[in-house]
This record gives sequence, structure tokens and C-alpha cells, in this order.
Amino acid sequence: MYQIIFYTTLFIGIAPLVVLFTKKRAFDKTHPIVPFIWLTAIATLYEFTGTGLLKINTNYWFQFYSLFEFLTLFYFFYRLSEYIYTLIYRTLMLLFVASYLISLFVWSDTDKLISMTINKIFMSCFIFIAVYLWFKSLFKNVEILNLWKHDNFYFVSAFFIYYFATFLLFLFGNVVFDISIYVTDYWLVNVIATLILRILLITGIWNMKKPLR
Amino acid sequence: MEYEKAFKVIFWVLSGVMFAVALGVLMFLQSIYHTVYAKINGKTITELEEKAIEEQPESAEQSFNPFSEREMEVIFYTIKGYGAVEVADKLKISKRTVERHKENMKDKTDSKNFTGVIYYALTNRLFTDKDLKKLQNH
Repeated sequence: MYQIIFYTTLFIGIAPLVVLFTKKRAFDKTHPIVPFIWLTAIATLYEFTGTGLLKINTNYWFQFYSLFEFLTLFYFFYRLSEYIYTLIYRTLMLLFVASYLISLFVWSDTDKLISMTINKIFMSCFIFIAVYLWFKSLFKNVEILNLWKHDNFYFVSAFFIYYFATFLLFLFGNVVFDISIYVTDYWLVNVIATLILRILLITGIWNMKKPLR
Repeated sequence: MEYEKAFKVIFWVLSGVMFAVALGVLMFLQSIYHTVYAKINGKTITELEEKAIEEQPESAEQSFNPFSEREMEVIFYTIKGYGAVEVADKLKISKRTVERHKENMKDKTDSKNFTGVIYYALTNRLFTDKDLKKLQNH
């Protein structure tokens, strides 16, 4: 059962990019979510080939992925904010650099858990702040007629649900994976949350309407 | 083993609660937002959507957009008050190309001047809501 959910989640990671390309005339390729969609597709391919088939040590991948994950999501939320909260975003970028350096310091190719916890916890905090700022702007401008037909609502919801639902897993990741021999029982939370994230991403892309600029 | 089993159950329950809370927060916020939007506009979202559907052109032929993406951009910036040179600068094309686009659009809509083209674009709802909002705020 775990294998079915795992591989479904893994391969569905390519779907957002496929949707974006097959409907490229109708969708906005300059949308700030596009780098994250590329990252998701590349991560899917790497995890299948690099981790699954070639059995390359995942510790390197986790560390690299955290960096690209932050950069793509930072780009998404920063552009979404229309550069209003520049100071807050610059501060968050500096904090990320600091936390990433700390995670690099504690990282080793045999133990990824502490650095993964540091990266993911900072990432979660960043998402909570960015989501709050997005809703603040939303309520300030009151421009969108129906949120259910708005692409960014799906993207923001996807990130918020994913990072909120996996917050405990990453917070206690170090403890959980140390005491348990059945790691997949816990990791399943991340797999299910990722599945929801990717489904919401596809729904968001489906709702993308190309503006003139 | 018992200890680990209990830990696992607590972990799954808490993760489920976290998921439910995230979903609840989003549902609550979207509901509040739609209420605020409806209050500002004096109508519910359903009524506003029905109104938008009613105002749309009836046939597919009427809603067909004869303009290219670039031509739509020329109309957009012209409505914003940009001259041909400024539009050319904005779109990184030559002034001559902008004028050619304008001529083509006049031919397509059988308009005597460019105001006719703008009228055509607006009455046929060729702009997205986002673009119209930008024009209104200008």
C-alpha cells in the first residue's frame, strides 16, 4: 500500500509541468509558480533515477533540494507580494542564508536529520509568514471575485497545508527516525502531504488564466 | 514496542489534527474573504458571478478574439494613455511596428480610428478581469 501511494505521489510530480506544456498557449509561462513546478518535475525524475534506481546517498539530495525549494518559493511569494513587503522578504532571505549555513555546518553524508530539521523548520516559518502576508494583501485589495477560480489561492493553500501538516514530522524528525525502525510509518505523513500539495498545484495550474502582462 | 506503538498513534493523530487545522484556517479565511467581497459589492459571490455570465457575449462567435496577444498589449497601453513611441518602448518593438499593429486592428474591426478598436475590445470583453482592474486603477 505504501509503495502504491509513494509511486503515485512521485510520478504525479511531473503532471504540473506536463499540464503547463500541453496548454502552453492558454497558460502564463511567466507566472511566479513556474520555477517551483520545474523543480518539482526535476525532483521527481531525480528521486526516481538517482535515489530509486542508482541508490545515490539521499543526504546530498536533501541538502540541495532545501536550497532550491527555498529559492523557488521565495521567488513565488516575493513576486506575489508585488514587492510591497521588500524589507520583510530581504530579512527572511538573510535568515535563510544563516539557517542554511548552520545546517551545512551540522550536515554530514551519514546524517541528514538535524540539517533537514533546521531547513524544514525555517522553511515552514517562512511559508507561514508569506501566506499571512498574501492574505493580508488579499483582504486589503479585495480584487478577486472568486478564490475558488483563482490560481494563486490553490498554490498558497497547497504550500500552507503541506508545511503545516508536516511541521511535527520535521520538528521531531530527528527523534522519530532515531527511535523507530518503521520509518515509513512516519514518512507516510510527508508522502500524503506531498500528494495533496501536487494535486493542488495541478488544480492551480488548471485555473491559470493568462493576463496580458 | 508498546511505547513505540503509542508514540506512532499520537504522532498520526497530531499530524491529522495539524492537517485539519490548516484546512480549517483556509476555509475560514476564504469564507470571510467572500463575505467581505460581497459586502463591498452589495451582492453575494453567486449573484456577482451570475451577473458576469449574463454580461458575457451570447454566442461563441461574438466572444472570439480577433487580436493577437501583441495587439492586445498595444490596446492595453493605448488605453492607459501611452503614445506609439511609449508603447514601442514598453513592448521593446519599433514605433513602426506599433503603428502597423494599430492599422491591422482597424482593418480587422472595420474601424475608422483606433477608438473604434478600443470600443470593440471593451464591449466584447476581450480583457481579463485583472487587466480591467489595472485599467480602472490607472
